[in-house]
Amino acid sequence: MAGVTLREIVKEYGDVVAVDHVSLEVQDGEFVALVGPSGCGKTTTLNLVAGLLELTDGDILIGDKLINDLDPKDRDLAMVFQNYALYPNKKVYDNLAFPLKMRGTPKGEIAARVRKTAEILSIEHLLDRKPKQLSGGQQQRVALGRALVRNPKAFLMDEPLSNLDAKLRVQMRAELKRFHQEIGATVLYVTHDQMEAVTMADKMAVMSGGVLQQYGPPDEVYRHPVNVFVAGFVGSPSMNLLRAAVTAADGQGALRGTEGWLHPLSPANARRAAASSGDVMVGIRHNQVHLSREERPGWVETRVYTVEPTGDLTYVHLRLGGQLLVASADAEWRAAPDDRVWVEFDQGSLHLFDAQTELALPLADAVASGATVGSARAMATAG
Amino acid sequence: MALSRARVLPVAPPRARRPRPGLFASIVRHWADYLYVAPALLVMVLVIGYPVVYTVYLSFFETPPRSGDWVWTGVGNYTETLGSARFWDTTRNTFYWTVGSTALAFVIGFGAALVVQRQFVGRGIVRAILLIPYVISHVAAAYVWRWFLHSDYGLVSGTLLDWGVIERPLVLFDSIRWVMPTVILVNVWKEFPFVMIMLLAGLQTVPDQLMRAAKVDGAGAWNRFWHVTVPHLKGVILITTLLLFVVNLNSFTLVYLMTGGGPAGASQLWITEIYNIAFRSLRYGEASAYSVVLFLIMLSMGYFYVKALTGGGKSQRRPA
Ligand SMILES: Nc1ncnc2c1ncn2[C@@H]1O[C@H](COP(=O)(O)OP(=O)(O)OP(=O)(O)O)[C@@H](O)[C@H]1O
Ligand SMILES: [Mg+2]
Repeated sequence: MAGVTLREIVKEYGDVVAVDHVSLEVQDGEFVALVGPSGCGKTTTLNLVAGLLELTDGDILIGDKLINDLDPKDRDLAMVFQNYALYPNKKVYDNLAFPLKMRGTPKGEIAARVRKTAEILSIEHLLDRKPKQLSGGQQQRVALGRALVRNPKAFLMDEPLSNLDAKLRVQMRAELKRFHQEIGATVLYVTHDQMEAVTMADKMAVMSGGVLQQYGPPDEVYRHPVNVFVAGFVGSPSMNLLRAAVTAADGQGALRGTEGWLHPLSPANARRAAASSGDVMVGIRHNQVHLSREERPGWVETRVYTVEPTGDLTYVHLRLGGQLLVASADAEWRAAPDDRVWVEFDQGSLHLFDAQTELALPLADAVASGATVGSARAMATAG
Repeated sequence: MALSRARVLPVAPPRARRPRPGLFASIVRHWADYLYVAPALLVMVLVIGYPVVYTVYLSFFETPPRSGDWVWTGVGNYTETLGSARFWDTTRNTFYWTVGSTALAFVIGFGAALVVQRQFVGRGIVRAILLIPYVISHVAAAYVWRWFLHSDYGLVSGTLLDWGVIERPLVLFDSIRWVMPTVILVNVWKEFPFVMIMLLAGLQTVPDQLMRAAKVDGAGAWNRFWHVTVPHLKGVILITTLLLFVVNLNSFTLVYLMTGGGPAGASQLWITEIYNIAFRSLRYGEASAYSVVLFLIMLSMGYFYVKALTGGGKSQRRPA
């Protein structure tokens, strides 16, 4: 195993910049999840690392070795493709054996490793079938197996669990995590599913429009998004983002929403807001919105839009002017549409972003503890 | 009509237990389908069925050129044909020609397809040039090559003589030893573009993703070709070679115009021979018998041809 380093890598397709100066360091044995909306350049990044696409600019290192011009077969990486790419004419056994065969592994060892991998993935009974005779989920496991059967420098996985049913996905997630821990594998893992990123990854890289937005441990990305995009993308349901102007009310800093609502700011938050260009985006997660059935001073009046009981807790969608706001309440909380409800944003968990640059306005103590991470480049290009 | 009929049929019992429906019942149920193909079927019967029957009938008669009489000889024409050394020589020539042409055209065509599939400057022009032999008529090709390779006034022979590469004229079409390789080469020249187009079309459908997977799995160029490209092209390869095989088995124009089957029958093929018997010697009965024999041979090969084509499809659709 070895680490993988991307230095300012760029990939252009004609006018389209699919990957734009991405720098990323995956330490040896680290599990890094690459997340981002569809078309943001995740697959392209993976293909660049694998050597299947030619870099427009930048460097890729495996361990300490520069591999920009190395042939894919000599990079010693294993890859799981988004659409499986199984050899249709070969049986499952031969699909799994192929990468070993190509590297001249002795027959006996091939057999042993194929059996062991098949066991891990519960596909022993499928070894004699052709890919066409498998379900999508089974094919995906074979594709995964073809990577796991080897002992490469690093694993590249492109949404390897996307086609499994919910139960199998949770199970495979656990298997993958265990596999990663047992052999200390270096993994670069693309996923749409934030749960996968949060549960498995040591670090999470958020991409958008070919640009790396933020790179850090999942909980840190969740708690301290560096810009509006990351704030809105990470977490489910997504963070509430409201546009507001910074004003003062009752001798205290406050936010005035475009719809006219007024919400006071704590002194610390007021100082942050003061650093903005005047307009801010307020970010607040559903579980940091306090609800009240009675009017309270300083609270904002809203109307109930819908109530979604989920069993563990209840999501309450509220109308605030023309915008919708999601809050969560305990499992028994109920209300009828158009009921009046007053809300307060938890001052300690309020995210403030400059409306113009869309960058986070730093929290004084957070900056001191160095919690807000993200490459300078990501911050500079995010706006 | 057919649809409404299908709808009133009772629900079928579980598949495994149901006996196969009788042939007659099946025909009755699909009567409308037969109606649709009836016009085509009728034309086929007229232009194929009638001549076949007529030829088989004629093959039992002797038809002396000078009189209009037909004389019944029973299987005389057959015993004479199959018993002659000439028939077996021609058969050997025909298989030499067919196997040789098909194999060579396939190898060269495949190679050409692989080359022109790559990206390079002028690829379009190269592709177009390589297609020329295919679009030239057989007649033109035959005359051009005859002129090229003629031993006395041929371009090749003359040039080589002038340059002093050879001392005596290059005898190809007039040499019993060299005539077959020569006509086969011309035929390959004519046919390889067909293989090239067919395989080029196939090559363009090789999934990119599969090639990438093979690269990551450590497969070099040869292994990628062998483990990804060839399996993917299997169907196209099968169809192309079989089509070529059948076409070559029935060749006439090229050989007839270049050598007329000579010298001394050294390049005689089945069809050129039948042509000579029928329209030169005017022995229609014997030519008919000859044709019937070929018909039977080709029919049995056609059986394997169809089986290979449909069998390939069946194995892919086999359920888990
Ligand atoms: N061969 C190509 N030619 C031109 N543009 C391309 C090509 N391949 C990808 N792109 C573009 O590059 C961008 C990134 O594509 P990529 O496949 O990396 O997205 P992705 O993040 O993997 O998306 P998804 O989550 O849907 O798989 C997209 O805008 C896509 O349209
Ligand atoms: Mg992708």
